[in-house]
Amino acid sequence: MNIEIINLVLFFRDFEYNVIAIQDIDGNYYDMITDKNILCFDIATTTINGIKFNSVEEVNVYLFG
Amino acid sequence: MIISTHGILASSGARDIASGYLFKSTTDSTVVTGVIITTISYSNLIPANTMLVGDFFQYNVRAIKVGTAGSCVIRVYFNTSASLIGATAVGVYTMAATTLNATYTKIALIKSATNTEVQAAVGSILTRDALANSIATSSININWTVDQYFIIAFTPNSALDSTYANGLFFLKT
Repeated sequence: MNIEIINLVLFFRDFEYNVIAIQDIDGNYYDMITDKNILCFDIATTTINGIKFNSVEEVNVYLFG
Repeated sequence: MIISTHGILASSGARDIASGYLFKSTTDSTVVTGVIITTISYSNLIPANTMLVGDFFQYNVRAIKVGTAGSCVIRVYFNTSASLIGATAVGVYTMAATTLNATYTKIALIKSATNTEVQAAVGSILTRDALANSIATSSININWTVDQYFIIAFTPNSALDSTYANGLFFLKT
């Protein structure tokens, strides 16, 4: 699954969400906390903007700098 | 449409539930044990357009934890498939290590097509409902015009414990 996040705005299922944080639940699944939802995803099978990440730290650096 | 000899009209087709239990079970769900990753224990389909704007729903989960080796998090999600990938969290509750059972219940209001409101704040642990809460309610975006799966998952802190739901219901009002 690929998800698009542009300027911390997530485009998912025809809605826009403001991404607040990414949290590791158990080392396999992660919570993407947005202003509307908390979405569960697995970085082993999920790419963000086509990029494959290996840890929640990498994702946070990519999104939040 | 069938008309019986007693004059009672009966019809085939999808059942239209105005209010009541969409599903309930006292059968033990899948036991989560031997792992410390978030694992689905139960899921049930809610067909598209079953839940409507203006509805309430309440879910109630009786979680059982066998063992006191570690804590365990109860996680409740909705998703368009019976999968955790892309699932939307609507409730999280942590059972302490010494907790052997917990009844986790939540009431949600479908206020609009994009706002299913629960009593908690997005971005923090969505705890169980409270009579009074200093944390603002949260707006969760769930598309009820498509099939949604109600999912219960557990995240054990110790692989030695076993956790499952020994009863649950989902009530539409």
